[in-house]
Amino acid sequence: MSGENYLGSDRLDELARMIAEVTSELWVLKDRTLVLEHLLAERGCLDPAAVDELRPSEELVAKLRKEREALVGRVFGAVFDPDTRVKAAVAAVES
Amino acid sequence: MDVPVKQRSRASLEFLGSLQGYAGGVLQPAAAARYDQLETAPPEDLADRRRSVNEKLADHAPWLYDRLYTRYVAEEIYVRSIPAAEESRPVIEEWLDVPEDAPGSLTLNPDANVPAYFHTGFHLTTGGWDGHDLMGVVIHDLGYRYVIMPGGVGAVRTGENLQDQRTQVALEAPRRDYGTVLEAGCGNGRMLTALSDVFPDSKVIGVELSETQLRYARARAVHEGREWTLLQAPVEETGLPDASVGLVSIFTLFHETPPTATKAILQEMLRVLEPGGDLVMGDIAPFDRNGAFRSVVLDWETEHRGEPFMRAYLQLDLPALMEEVGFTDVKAYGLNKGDYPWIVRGRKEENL
Repeated sequence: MSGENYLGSDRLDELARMIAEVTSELWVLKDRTLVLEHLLAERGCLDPAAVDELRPSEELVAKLRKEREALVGRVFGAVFDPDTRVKAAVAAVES
Repeated sequence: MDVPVKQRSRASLEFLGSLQGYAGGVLQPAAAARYDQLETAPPEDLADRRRSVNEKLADHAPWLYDRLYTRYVAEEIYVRSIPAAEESRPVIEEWLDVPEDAPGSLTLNPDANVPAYFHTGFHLTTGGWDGHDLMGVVIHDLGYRYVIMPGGVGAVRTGENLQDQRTQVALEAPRRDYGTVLEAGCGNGRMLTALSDVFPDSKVIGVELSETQLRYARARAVHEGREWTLLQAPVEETGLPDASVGLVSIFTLFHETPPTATKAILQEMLRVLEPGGDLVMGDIAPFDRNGAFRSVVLDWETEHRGEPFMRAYLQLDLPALMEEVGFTDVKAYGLNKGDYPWIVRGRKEENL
């Protein structure tokens, strides 16, 4: 293993670091969700089981779907050229 | 101190602890097992061991990712801890601002001779060991608490308790009745706390070069009700009187110093020790006390984790150096699994 990188190329190292950062961000959000659920339950605003038992309304289903599809589009659309990505981003804002 | 860390900072630091724990607790043991399978006759020499491990595990993913993420965590500790400290700056500054007339003392000396090795910094600290004015809190209450303690690092394996190891080292001193106990390179006072607990009737002195660490140690002393004399000075040149100390304690300092400085420090410690006084050092065991894979993990820190003198330390015959300097009754032995901490202790002869 050279002193320059750890995985055989700088680009691979960078990708692995990005995955670490993304996982870290995921954990920060997950931690925050758990904290929110804890606080809401502690203050009597939320039955701890309610989140799991919720059957989303049509309105909420649509909102979640829109957010989810936007996330999927941003992450997996990263392979497209810049013009395509800009169009997709603008479309997401306009929708 | 208990820093009121905001959710984002707390969670992101805790993540680093978990990632380091996974690297040290899962990836690294997998790499060690693989190496054991592939190398039936590990070499004796450290350079050969380095070559052997890197060749055998050249394409072994757990080994490569363990090293990458250990480096990543070491860097990220400061990337995340420094902003976290800034978020709580007023509370931290209030904690650091202790009354001058509180028991004990802090004597700073901005003109102290700073050895070259100190300038290189330690542990990849952003800007160096004194690279941020709140570095004491950054290192101890954020990095140490949220990342190093749960995740382990270097010689301290995942799940081991660094503070317990300090107490173990203090307990290796052969007596309990020293009038004065000195710690050379006291940092932010973690070892001083252990020394005060083990030697409650002794006067406790800490010598250290870093101003931020000393300011932290002073605040720690006042908040914990300890009466420590804290001096800013190079440990090669403490300014303490001859024969004024009964016990010298040195904890995890010598893997940070080049061998020439280590010798100079030992000479200074011999000078300040009373005849019949003791020196107890706790650090990492020399490479030949570790298996090939383990010694390469430790040696790796030389180039990758801000430990530029680790390789020299691992190959240093410290007991022989202590005897050369003039210590007698020198003993060296390991505590716990993996011989960590490694104890080297010696005595200043009665008639010196």
